[in-house]
Amino acid sequence: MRLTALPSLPSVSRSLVGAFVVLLALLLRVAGARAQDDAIKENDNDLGRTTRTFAIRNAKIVQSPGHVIEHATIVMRDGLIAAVGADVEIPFDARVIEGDSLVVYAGFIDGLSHAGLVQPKAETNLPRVPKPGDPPNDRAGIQSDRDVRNMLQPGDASVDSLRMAGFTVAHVMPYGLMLPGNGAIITLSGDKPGDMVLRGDASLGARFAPADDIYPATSMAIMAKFRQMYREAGRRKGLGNLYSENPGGMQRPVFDPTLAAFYPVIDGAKPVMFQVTSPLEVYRALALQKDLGFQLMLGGLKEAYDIEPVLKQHNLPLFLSLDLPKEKKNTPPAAADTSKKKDDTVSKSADTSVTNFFAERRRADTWRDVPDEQNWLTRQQRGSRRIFFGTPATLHREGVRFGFSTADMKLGDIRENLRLMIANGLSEDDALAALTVDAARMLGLEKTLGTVERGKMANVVVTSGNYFNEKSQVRYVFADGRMYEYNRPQAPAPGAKPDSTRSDSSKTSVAAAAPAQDTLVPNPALAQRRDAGRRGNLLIRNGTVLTVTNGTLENTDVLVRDGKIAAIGKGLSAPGGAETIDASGMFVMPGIIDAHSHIAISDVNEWTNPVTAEVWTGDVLDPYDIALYRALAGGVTTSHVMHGSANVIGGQCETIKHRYGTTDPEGLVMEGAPRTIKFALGENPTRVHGRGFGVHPNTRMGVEDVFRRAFTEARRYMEAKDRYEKEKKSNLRATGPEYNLRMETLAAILRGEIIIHCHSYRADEILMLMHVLHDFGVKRITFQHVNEGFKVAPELAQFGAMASVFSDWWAYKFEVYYSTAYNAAILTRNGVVTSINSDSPELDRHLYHEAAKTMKYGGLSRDEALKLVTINPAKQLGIDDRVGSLEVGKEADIAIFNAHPLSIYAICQKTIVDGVIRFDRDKDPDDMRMNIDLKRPVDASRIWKGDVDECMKGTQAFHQLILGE
Amino acid sequence: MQLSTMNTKMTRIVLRAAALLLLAALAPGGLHAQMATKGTFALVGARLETISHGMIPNGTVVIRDGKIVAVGPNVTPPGDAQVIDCAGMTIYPGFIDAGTELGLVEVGSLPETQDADEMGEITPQMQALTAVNPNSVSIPVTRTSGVTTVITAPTGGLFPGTAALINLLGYTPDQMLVGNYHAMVMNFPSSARPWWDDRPDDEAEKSMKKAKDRMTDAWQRAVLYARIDSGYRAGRSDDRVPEFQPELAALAPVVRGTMPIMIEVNAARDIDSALAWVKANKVRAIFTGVAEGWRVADRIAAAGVPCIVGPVISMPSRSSDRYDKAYANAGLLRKAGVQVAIRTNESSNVRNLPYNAGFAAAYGMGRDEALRAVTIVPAQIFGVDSLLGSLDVGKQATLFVADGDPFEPATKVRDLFIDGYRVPMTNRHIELYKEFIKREPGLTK
Repeated sequence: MRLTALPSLPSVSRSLVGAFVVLLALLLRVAGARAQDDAIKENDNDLGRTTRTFAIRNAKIVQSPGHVIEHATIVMRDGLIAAVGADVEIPFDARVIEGDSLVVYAGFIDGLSHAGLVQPKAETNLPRVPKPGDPPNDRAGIQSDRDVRNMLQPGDASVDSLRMAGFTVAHVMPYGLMLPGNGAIITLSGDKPGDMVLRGDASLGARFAPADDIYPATSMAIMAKFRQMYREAGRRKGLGNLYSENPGGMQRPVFDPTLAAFYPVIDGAKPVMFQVTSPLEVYRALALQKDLGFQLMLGGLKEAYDIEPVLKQHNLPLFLSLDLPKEKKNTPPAAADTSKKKDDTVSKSADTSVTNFFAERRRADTWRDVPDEQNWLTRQQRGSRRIFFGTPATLHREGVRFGFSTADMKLGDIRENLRLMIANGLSEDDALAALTVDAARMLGLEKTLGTVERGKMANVVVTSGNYFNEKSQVRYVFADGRMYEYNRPQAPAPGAKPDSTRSDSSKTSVAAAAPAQDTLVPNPALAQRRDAGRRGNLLIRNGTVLTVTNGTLENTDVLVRDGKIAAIGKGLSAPGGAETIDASGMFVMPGIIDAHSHIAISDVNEWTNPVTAEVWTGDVLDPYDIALYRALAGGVTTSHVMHGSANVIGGQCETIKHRYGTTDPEGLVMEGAPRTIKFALGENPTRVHGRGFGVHPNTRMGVEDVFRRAFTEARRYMEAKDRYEKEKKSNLRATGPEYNLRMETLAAILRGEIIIHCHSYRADEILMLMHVLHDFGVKRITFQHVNEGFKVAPELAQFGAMASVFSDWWAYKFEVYYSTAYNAAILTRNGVVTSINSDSPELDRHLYHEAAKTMKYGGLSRDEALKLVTINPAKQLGIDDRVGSLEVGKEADIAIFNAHPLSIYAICQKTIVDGVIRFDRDKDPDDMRMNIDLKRPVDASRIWKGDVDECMKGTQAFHQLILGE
Repeated sequence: MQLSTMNTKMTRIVLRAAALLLLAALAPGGLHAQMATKGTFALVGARLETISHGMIPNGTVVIRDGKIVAVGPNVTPPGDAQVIDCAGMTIYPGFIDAGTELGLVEVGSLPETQDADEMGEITPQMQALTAVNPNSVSIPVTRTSGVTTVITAPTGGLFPGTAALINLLGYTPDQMLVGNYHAMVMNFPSSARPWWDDRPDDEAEKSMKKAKDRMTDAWQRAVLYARIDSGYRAGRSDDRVPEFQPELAALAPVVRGTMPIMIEVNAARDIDSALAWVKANKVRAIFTGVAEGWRVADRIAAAGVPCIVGPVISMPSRSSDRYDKAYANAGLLRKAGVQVAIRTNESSNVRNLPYNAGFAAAYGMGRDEALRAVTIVPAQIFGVDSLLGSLDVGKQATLFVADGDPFEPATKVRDLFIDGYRVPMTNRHIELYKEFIKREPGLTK
């Protein structure tokens, strides 16, 4: 701005011109935001390139972490580092930078980035997809045919923003969903996209980013879709090769570019870069890798602290996100004086001391304990944040190397967050290694990048001091031999003191690490989090043992060895070291089994298609769900974690044990439990698909048609595969059917390998499904909810179908209006194996009480009532040979109550899984979370509303009903 | 009796005959057999849980003209009384559920059957009693658990309307109304989110602030309206006719303190705000929900605001809470000196009120206090303790006979009286049971 020219003008026009200049300045700023106003390029003033040789003289050169040369010179020429050292001759054509007090580092490398790409705007008013279960690829996020090289915008502001933080090279991936495209390694320089690319086709990008209300709408479906595409790509690739060798007389394999992108992956020539934000997503990516065997890279990981051993074990290229959660205000502990001025400061400054009594028990028993509790939770949250920030340091200590990723973060936060990591234990050298040498090695760039050495690419960062010092500034960035100047110092006013920001302080100036009291104190679950596989030894003495299958035994001991029941009898003695529980006056029963649950999974419904047999809740287990613990507190040890009821043929389900404390999803799985799948009849699938999406089925007739169609197709698929297997023996060029994971699953149902659990209510639809199953020769089925099962109890018994019901839920929708709480009793009396389930993270905590209601509603005996939540659900899940009763040889899943569990006054005291005590009412503190929300205040409250159809979670209908959308 | 124990042909024949008789009773001509009957009854030989004066191990209750006319160990049944042998049974005053939507909501997913939530944020002129369906299938289903009386309340918005206290017997809403009790319902702006609400904090905070502003504005206007209206009624010549504002007219009795206000409030800091609001505006407040009441129990007790807590069988409000905090809340409030009644907040399963009280009893409240929380305490809170809540001479004969502790799931209610009417112990669930326990035709015609 040349304001000095203004005084000569008359005042009116001066103000006009002034306004114009301001406007112009604003316009320039806007434009400048694209070209980054601070950057001064080597061809500034449109002069063009003057030289391709640069020298920085008398600088501190950090060649690699720990290798520093003071007062040295670096010469860069024609895009390469020509010389580095204390005694280097400067060529005559060099543009020389006086390096006094400057520091030179190797240019930083971003392991997963969107630099150079225009972030697409959230598109609204997209046309409705007619078949949400079979959408166009671009809408579904299946864009593996895209190449990031064709999308680069060298002038995009993100390039300069990232470079300004010291980065010169990035592994870039298109914005997108499940398969956003193929990544490339680019240099953050150049005027044309082609100039930027160092290596194309560097990776196949993948994310757990579901599409909006179309398939795949969940991580669960992304897992299935990935398997489907990978395996079919393998088949097509083979056929394609055969066909190109000799097309004559062979069916032409259809070329699909989204599948072709997998070919080099299958050949091991290209890795999959999975963008993973959480430990759960790491496990999911690893599960896919284990199934399919591709080369895997992980990028964008935010919370890695629970999976250090996993990362160590797999030793994969890993890029941690440079995004960190900011500390939020916590409400100060409630004080009697609410008129006090609002405390606007971050709670860091508040006193968070707690009484010793509280620190020991960690329980808020009355209102008096509330200030202690609030302080405690604040400290725990800070401790958790410290662990989060300290994760890079921990990984380094454990020998896990990593780089960094800036994908999906505010680029302006990069340096501050690096300082936070350093303040929490990461050494500056290790941080530098992650930014340079380690990242280079993981991306296969170590020959050309990562250190300041002769012969490497001329990619360096020049700073006014230690990069990790808050006051230091990035002064120059050289990328691919091109110079970018930043933060040019203002000419100092005469007599001014030297700019203190340029001093080379070797200490980072981030606030000192949080006080030691903010160390996370682990609760019993956290304390045993690496211990999922443990099998315990116990002696439970002198209890009233409710065996369920062999009556009630007074004053009896139960001995547990290696997680199994070793003996039941009187006067048993504990083998050395085994813990003894005195159960005098207590009731010992088998762990409760919930045959219908949706806890501990991050997706419930893939609601976009009437048939989704290929998806599986086991793919999206969430061991952090506090509901696991709360169910344990109600004596539950096993849950059948089901897909929802949006679809006629929903997803496969998983039978889990409540080994709360494991952070490995696999640790929850009840090994060897039979496969199960969810079906659904009636209002839910017709509401979601018929009324919601306007696709088949809209009626109970349509539901039957969906079954018959799906089973017939599966039968034909099996036949085609059989024919292919035979034909293959004589004809190497036989093609066979396309691989279809959905059909594979349906075929397994027809072969009797999967037990059906069908959401159902009305008598007619229950009969319908039994007819269908009869026609297709399928036998094993448990009807779920089955509120009108009592009307067709004789038919159910004759078919051998089982029933899993609510004790008394009814009238929450029309198809359960003609219900009776006597359902369980009527079914039991008619010879149907019946259980009582929860379908709710609230109800599952008192299934013993739900079972007790059948004594009122139909007069079941105590033993009959207990069976409803123990051995009967075990039969329905095909695990009754292992759990569901107290018998020698069975797994030691046990609940101990202080009164008969069917009494309203009974309180569960201890719950044991595999002989390990996972809930202990005497010892457990209040807060049993496995992870602490760092984004919410510690006193954030949520009010439970019970009358919600858990089965419909995720669906639009659910959202309309619950959220009023 | 269990069917499995009856194996002889003879018993089957007897059973069939009984079933036929039952069918005859259900036939149109026999419908009156299912109706409530009024008369003079003597319930003899029972254990009496009087609530007001302890437990009487062996006593008699005499009912006449809708009232309890005698209670005690040495009562002789009057000559005209229908004597009901209650040996081995216990008599309790009818249970009161202090918060439900019973009669307003029939089927959860069918808007056509739901009348609890009128459109608009401020609709205090809505009256729950207007929309109570006396023939709701849920009403007989509720009675068989010993629940005789409920508050049924409108929902949604800031001022959804007035709740009514009703007995679960009557052919018209007016016949059901007890003690002409109506209370204004208010949903205090909430910082506690429903569990599915994942909005960012600032957004949630903003909408809460908006709701608070709206509340303040509505209340200020109601106060002004009440002043203008009072002046007009007093006939002062300088005062104007109040504008036609049915919403504000409905709030006027609350402003004047002649109508109580039930304030739904759950999070601890909202309870503090609500206490301040109650104090500033001098309203006759009752708190409902009160999920985190235990955290501020001392301050609620000091303010003397009664609390209707529940559902007890529910989730804790914070993920860091002890798993049983919702069970324990009622007891913790009581121990701090708060007047506590229990509610289910249900419509179709109000029948679980005894189990909600039972859970509160087990998790620290104790059986006696839990029993009071579903009998005399709500009666006191609603000012109807001269009619309901205990077995005392002169009170309404609204009571039931159970074969055990009604909090225990195995216990069955054998007999039940509302306002002196003996109500048949049946409902659709029981009738379906009778029809289908042994279906005819069975597998073949």
